[in-house]
Amino acid sequence: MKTLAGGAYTIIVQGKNGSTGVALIEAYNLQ
Amino acid sequence: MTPFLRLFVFGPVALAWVCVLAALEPASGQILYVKPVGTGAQQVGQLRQVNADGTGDTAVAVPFADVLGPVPERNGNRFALSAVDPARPNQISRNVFTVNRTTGAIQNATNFLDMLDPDTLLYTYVYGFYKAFSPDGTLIAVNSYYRIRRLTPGAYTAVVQGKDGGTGVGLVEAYGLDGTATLANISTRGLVQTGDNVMIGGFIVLDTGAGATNMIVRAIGPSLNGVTGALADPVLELHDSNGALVASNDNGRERKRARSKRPGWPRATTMNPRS
Repeated sequence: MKTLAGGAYTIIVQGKNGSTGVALIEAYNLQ
Repeated sequence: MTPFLRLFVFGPVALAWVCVLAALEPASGQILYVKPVGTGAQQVGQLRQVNADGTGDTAVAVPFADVLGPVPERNGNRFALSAVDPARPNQISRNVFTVNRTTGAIQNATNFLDMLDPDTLLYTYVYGFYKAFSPDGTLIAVNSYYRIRRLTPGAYTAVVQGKDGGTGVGLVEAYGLDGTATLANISTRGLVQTGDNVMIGGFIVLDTGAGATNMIVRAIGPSLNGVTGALADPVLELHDSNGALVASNDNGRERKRARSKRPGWPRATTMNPRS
């Protein structure tokens, strides 16, 4: 969990050591 | 106050989303797009039309209904148009146009974010087009237009796939256009590859004056039940608008601790130490 100020954010998901596969990104606003 | 979230994700096609956009096929034969005119965030665009192969680029002022086919009869005379500036092919500019449905005349053009104006919220349907150029200015793609509709609360999934099995990098965006609307959770699933084809997503936390907000961002791979070829060991990074690394995680332990601090947020059905 991170406390974030207003602004644009980028999420990058990659496989460890160059591995590939299907992944799911999720972002939740806890307010 | 509830921050307004915007999701934008670049990734291979065949993605599953929780969002409000549906990708549709453009009108066949000829495609409308907006050519940016001017510079800066408030640049406007000129409505133009090209053949499907990119030739015959001409300015047009025709009724949208004639090009798109039937337009929903619910204040359907306002459109959002997306365009790619050839000088900045990696950036998509967005413009809002008020188009007279009878004459096709462009009556107004403002920045896309002006759609947050309450007056604009009365309009349910928005259409956009964009045209992609390579760095040398060569036309490489004319993309579909989008339909935005008013949705009742609930979970929605948009699936984007290449026509006739085509593959490539796709973009899906979700905008909460209503000041009271909240994207409680945004998510996407896609194939993580390497280099430029890693999965990239994003969101915007609007500065509402209420201070910072608490966010959980997670990447799930091994815990995707029933998914063939799940990413065995995801590495997650969160960057701010300057590209600075805000947080990173290459295993699920940190997330588990976060969850224990804030009960009630959704859990993966099966947790894996590396998910």
